[in-house]
Amino acid sequence: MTRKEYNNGVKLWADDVYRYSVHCCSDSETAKDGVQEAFAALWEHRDTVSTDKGKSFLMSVVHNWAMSLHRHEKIHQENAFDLMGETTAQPDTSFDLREALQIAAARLPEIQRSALLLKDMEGFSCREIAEILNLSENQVTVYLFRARVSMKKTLIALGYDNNK
Amino acid sequence: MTITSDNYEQWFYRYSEGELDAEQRAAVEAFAAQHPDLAEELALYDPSLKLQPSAPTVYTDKESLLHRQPTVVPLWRWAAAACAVGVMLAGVWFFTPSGEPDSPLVAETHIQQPLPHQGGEPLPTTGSASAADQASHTPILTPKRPPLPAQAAALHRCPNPVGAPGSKPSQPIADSPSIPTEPPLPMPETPSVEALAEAEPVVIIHHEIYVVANAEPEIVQEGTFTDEPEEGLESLRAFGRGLTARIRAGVLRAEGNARVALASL
Repeated sequence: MTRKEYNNGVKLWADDVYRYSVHCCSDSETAKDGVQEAFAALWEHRDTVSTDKGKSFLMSVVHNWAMSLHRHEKIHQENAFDLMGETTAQPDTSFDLREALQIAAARLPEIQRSALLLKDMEGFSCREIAEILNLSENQVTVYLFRARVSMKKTLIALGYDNNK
Repeated sequence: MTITSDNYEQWFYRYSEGELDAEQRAAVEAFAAQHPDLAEELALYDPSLKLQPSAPTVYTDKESLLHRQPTVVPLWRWAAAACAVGVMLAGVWFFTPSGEPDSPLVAETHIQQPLPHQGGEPLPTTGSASAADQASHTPILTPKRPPLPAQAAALHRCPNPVGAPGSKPSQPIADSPSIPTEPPLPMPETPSVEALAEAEPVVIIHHEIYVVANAEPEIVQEGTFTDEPEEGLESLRAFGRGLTARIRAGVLRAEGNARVALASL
C-alpha cells in the first residue's frame, strides 16, 4: 500500500471504522482512539497490507483494541436502551423497530455482535469477517446464526415480531 | 459433510441465506424434521432482521490520520545554519593563534600620534606591520588564558605599555583595567571613508589576536563566548561590533584576514 493509497483509504474507510469502533465501545470519544490506533497500525504495516485488505485490517485492529479495552478496563458499557433490562415486561412503543434491533444487538455476546455488525453494517462477507475476528468461516456462520435467532427472541420479548 | 447436532447451526445459516444447492437443502430439511427442537431455531432465523446504522457516522478528524509527503525544510534554514556555523568557524579561526602556540603577543600599540594623520598613506593590508612600525610599537602582553597570579604580577610589572614617552595616551586602552565591552568609544561622528583612510590607528590588531574571557587590563577588548550556538554567536557578534566600532573610530586597525573575519560578523 502506497502513501497515496493509504491516504485514499483514510477518506474511504475512516467513517466506517469509526462507526464500528463506536459500536464496539459505545463511546464516541473513546472510539476515536480506536480509529487512530487502527490507522496508525495500517500505516506501520502498509508494506505488507494490500489495498483491498486495508479496511479488513482496520476493522481487525479496532476489534482487538476494543477487546483489550474491555478486558483490561472492565468496560462493559451498554446501550442506553439496555437499561430497561429484563424488567421491561410491556413493550415500549416509544422506539421503532430499528431501535429495538439495536437493543437486541446490544444484548448479544461480544463476538456475536461484532460479527453481526461487520455483516450488516459494513457488508463484509463471512470470509472477511473470519479474517477480521480471527475465526474460521464456519465459526462466523455459527455466530451469525445464533445472533439472529437471539435477536428474534429479544424482539418477541419486547413485543416486536415483524412476522405478525 | 454430514449435518449433526454439533454443526447444524452453520448448515441452518447457509440454508437460510440461500447458499446451499438443492441436495444440501434437502439434507437440512430432513435433519430439521428429525430434530424438531432444533427446527425451532431454524424457524426463528429471520434473514431480514438486519442492523442498520441510526445515522451517518462521520469521523471529522481525517486530516490527522493522513500522512502527507515529508515537509521540505525551507532552504533558508539550511542556509542560515550554514552561515551560523561559518561565522563561528571564522570566529574560532580568528581568535586562534597561528604562530607560536605560547606566544602571548596578540596586539600592538601604536605610539605615534593618533588622529588626525597627515600622511594619507594607505592602510597596510599585509599581515604584519613593517619593521619600522614594529620598532615604534610597544607590545601588549595578553595571555592566552587568564593568567596565573604569578603571570599577572609579571604582566603588571611591565612598564607602561602604551604610555611611552612621546605618546599621547588619551586612550590608554591597554592600560585601562576596565574597558567596557560596549565601550564609550571615542566615536565623534561616523568617520568618512576618507577620514578612515587618512587616520593613523593607535593600535594595530594582527589576526593572531587572542582574547581572554576575563577582564584583564592588558586585553584590547574582552568578550565572553559560550559553547551554546545561539548565545555564543550573539556574543561573538557583539564582540565583532565592538571591534568594528573601534576600527571605524580609528582606534584600532584590522589587518589581513582579520578584516575578512570582522566583515563576517
